[in-house]
Amino acid sequence: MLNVQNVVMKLRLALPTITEARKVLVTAPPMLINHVSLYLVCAPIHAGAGKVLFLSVDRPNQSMARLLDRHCNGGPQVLFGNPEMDPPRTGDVSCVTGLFAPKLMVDALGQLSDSPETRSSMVVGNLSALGFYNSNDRIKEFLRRIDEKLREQVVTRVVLVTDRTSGYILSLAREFAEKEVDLSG
Amino acid sequence: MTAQDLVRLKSGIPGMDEMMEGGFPFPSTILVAGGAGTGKTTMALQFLAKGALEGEQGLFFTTLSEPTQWMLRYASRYGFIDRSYFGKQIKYIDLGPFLTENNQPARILEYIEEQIAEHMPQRIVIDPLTVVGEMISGSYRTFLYDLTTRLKNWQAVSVLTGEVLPGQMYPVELSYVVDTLVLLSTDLSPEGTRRKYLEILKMRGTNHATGKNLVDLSARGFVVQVGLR
Repeated sequence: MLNVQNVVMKLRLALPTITEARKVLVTAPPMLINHVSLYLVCAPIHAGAGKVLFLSVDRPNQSMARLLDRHCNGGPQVLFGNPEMDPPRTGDVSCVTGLFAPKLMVDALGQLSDSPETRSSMVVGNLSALGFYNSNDRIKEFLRRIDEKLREQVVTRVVLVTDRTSGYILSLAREFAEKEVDLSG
Repeated sequence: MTAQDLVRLKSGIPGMDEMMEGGFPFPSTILVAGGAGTGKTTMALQFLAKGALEGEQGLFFTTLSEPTQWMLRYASRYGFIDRSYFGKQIKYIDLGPFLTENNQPARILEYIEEQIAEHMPQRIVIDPLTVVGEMISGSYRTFLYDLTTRLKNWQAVSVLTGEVLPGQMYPVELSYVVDTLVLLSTDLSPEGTRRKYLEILKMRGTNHATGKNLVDLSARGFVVQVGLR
């Protein structure tokens, strides 16, 4: 059953794979995208990296800020409502939102990384939401810019989170990624 | 995106999903409007119980200051309710005391969002929302617009129930801001028994069935007799 606990458990088991690769694609059920993204930004995928940058494609600032505050940045951490599950560790999470301006989101990364020495992981979700307002070329450009940031070592690892509602974006993301973790079925 | 691509949540109401291409669009806001005894709360509970059965998280906000144990006592009469859902997959939050002390729309919205951020539900119920209109200071319409926009941003299907006053078809100010409008009504049969009906008046992005459909409200819960009028 695709419930929160099962999906998060699968995600937790897949974390070593995610940590090994530099470009990871995580496909998740649409109803649980929030949970998966939140777990990824809070979980120790960034062990030793210090910072996580979260590019929130489809969540406005206010609700994302509230979620991060509640669950990741020193809040009560009642994440997923299961006391038996390890709470993700409190992280230093920075969030950029911008459904309409994907390139600007990537450009903002430079400012969020304090210095070239600061190693950061990046989580991008929900990628498929970009399809509502952006052309195919613009989405390609968005991924190309992310790749550039990896090469420049502004970020050390990128995890793309998406559902399967856009076949085109899924295929682009698959082309981009080195590893794929499928939580959607 | 085509209609088939819309993600949908099963309503949990037997007969209803076939009236609306398989379920409620996700995320969206649903107004269930009707007079007293038409089955609004039962329908909302059944919607949450279906989610709980599927392993989803549900939030039930009541505005009536009804203690949890009272609600549970009534709800447990229904076959679809498993008491173990409450406190786990279904969180019950009494907004009544909060509304009595806080009538500022911004504060009310903030409180609702705090609860949603904590529990991250896929299904939300506010029952009945129309009570809030009588308690808040300032523009009710602006409050409703803000509320429905924010609810959708949280990635959930929200069922808002609305009481209908005699002579009123549905709460007009709410009907504009929701994606779906479901009307529950009753009438007297020639034999003198009161029959209940469900009608979908509006559902964005969905080719839905139209017209009144007979409803059976019993210990089994809310069942739509599709095609029976």
